[in-house]
Amino acid sequence: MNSTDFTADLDGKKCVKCEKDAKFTGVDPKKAWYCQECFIQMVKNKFRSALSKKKIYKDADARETLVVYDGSPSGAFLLNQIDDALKQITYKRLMVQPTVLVLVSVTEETEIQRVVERVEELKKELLENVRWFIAHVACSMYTDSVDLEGLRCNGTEKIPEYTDLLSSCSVPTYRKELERILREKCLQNISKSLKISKCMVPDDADDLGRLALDQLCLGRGGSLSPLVTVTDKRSDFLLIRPICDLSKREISIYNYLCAIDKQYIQFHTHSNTQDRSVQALTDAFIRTLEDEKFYSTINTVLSTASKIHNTNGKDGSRCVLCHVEVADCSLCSTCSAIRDSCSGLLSRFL
Amino acid sequence: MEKRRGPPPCQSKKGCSNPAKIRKAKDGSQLCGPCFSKNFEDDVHETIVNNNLFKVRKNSIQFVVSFSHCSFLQRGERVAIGASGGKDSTVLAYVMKTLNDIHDYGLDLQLLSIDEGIKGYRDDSLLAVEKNRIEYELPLTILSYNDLYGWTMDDIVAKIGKKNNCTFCGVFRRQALDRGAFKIGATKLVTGHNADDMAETVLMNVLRGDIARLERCTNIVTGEEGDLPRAKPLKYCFERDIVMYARTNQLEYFYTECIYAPNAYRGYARKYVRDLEKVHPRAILDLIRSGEKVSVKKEVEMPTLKTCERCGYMTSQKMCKACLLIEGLNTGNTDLGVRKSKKSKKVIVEIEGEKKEEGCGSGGGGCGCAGAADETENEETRKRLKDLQF
Repeated sequence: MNSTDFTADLDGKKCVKCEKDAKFTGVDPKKAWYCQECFIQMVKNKFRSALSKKKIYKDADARETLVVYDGSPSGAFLLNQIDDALKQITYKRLMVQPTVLVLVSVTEETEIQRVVERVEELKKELLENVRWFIAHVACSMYTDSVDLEGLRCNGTEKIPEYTDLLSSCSVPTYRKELERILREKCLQNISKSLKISKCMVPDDADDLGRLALDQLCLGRGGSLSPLVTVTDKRSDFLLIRPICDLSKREISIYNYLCAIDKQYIQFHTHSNTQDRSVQALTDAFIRTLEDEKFYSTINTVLSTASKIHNTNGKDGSRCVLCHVEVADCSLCSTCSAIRDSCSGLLSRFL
Repeated sequence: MEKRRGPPPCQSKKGCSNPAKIRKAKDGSQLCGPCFSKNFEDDVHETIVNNNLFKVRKNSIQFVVSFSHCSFLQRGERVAIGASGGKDSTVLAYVMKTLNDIHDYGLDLQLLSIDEGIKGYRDDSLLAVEKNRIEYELPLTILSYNDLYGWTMDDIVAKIGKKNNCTFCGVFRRQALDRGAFKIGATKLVTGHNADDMAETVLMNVLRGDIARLERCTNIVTGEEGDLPRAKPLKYCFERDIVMYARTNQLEYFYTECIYAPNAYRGYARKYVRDLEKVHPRAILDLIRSGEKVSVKKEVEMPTLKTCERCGYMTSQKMCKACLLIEGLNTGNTDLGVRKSKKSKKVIVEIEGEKKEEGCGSGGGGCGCAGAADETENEETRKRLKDLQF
């Protein structure tokens, strides 16, 4: 990536922190600009403050955390932040005991083998002293605990069942939503099997902003807050999103500056770009707004989502499939619609 | 030779044998013209019943309105129908009149129009309202921005340019409808907001971060805490179904988009909602459902409702938005009330500090009159608002 991509329209700007010549900015070029050192520090601070504000690691007994790596720039960034935080010898050391989970979503055997080989290389570069597991999202199909092995991609035997379930869903919007739900279910299954109650996912602000709008269009407006903010607490499982305040742009700049961009795993997926789904429309909508220079859209959506909650939620009752708060039944209305569009294959989870 | 397929039979529950001509956007059912109209009217009546706009009891075949324990509308009370001449308000006026006759609501329905002063748009659409007045035999009252505020939208656009026009128009129209309803002695106001509008509003409030409005924007009745509650009987009706209903019943309406609207931010949300309806129609109702489920967390600070120091209209600030916008227009500071800038903040502080005693006196003050550059203009605005006794 060329550094000039990030340094357009400088116009003699100064760093807002140290008065050096500014080179980089976050999402909105009308707002703060930073020099290289201050930009790196700003990004790191956003990661640390997301964790410290919620006091997630206050409890000394529950420091074991599953850190998810999906090969994306955000995933690589998260791994590096954890690696960096563990190497600190001062009070800045993050009190976390990580277990890395490489989450694979491709279904071709050769691609999966390539991922396993790439992970072996990565293990030598960072977090070498922690446990690493590779698992396919098809682990979501297990109803009992998963026996995880360290040297292979776990859950590949469930890929046919997984793809059958997804292809049985006749509505593209619900198929994509089901994919998201199964990914979370997979993480929950693996965490439970490893007896780890905390799970860090590399969901950045852009992903979460889009997710917020998608969920709004799926009728889950009241449950936006747990779906897109730092923590999503469930009965025996805590989903943590430590990079929820960082945009893809900020992460890409940081990765470029710190040479993390060599630690990505490029998946060769066959995504259908012609898919007529709510998720595809949301993506196009956000892109249009950004092209029209409405840079703060994502930030505003996430800020709004963090301030609202569900009017219906009573006694902590939750949907058995997606875990959003529900008033008086086991399935939320969106999951009921997903079930109806899945020709019965989803019933195993209900 | 393969037999050519004809239209499918009408899917009405009443066993109609006519060929289906219309696909209802809301649920995809295929219906013939008369069954579609009946189904649409039943939908609106059901919305009124289920949301307790009227207290009803069920009487074997049809609902009969019982006004003994009426929660929203009372028998004999005057209800203003916000009429712009567009498809939504034309259908609303027609449906309300039809349901009023069929179910004997016993309401005194009156049309209320606001003339924003947009040449080539509003003057033409008011002709459509005039036709409605004659056809539906409903009295019509027209109030203009010029009479109320001393500014037409054409004047405003000439002053501020083609950006933020909808901010001015939306704020002024809301107040103007309330003032008009008071003028004609109505105690309730019904508007033609449809499901697409509601979905768009939910989305807009999320995009703007307006959590206070997000919490209440999907309420079918708003303003119950004030003197003039508003209701949206077409809340669950899809825009496409409204158009089809108007066509089926040969209703005449004005269908040109406002000439100042294309530059609005809302346009992006509108396009998104329209695309959603094509790809996943249920998303419209799901967006409304999302809005209905939203509640603001306790720890979030919310604005409290007060009355405007100038005109007595409800507001969360010292001055209502309309007064603030007029102040900006009259003083040449057109950013006032539109965007946060140091200059506009300074002006607000000055207004609040120096001009508390001024104003037209209607409800404690008058919109913009106190800040008008020309003293004669102040007097005129003051007199206009006094006449309305708001």
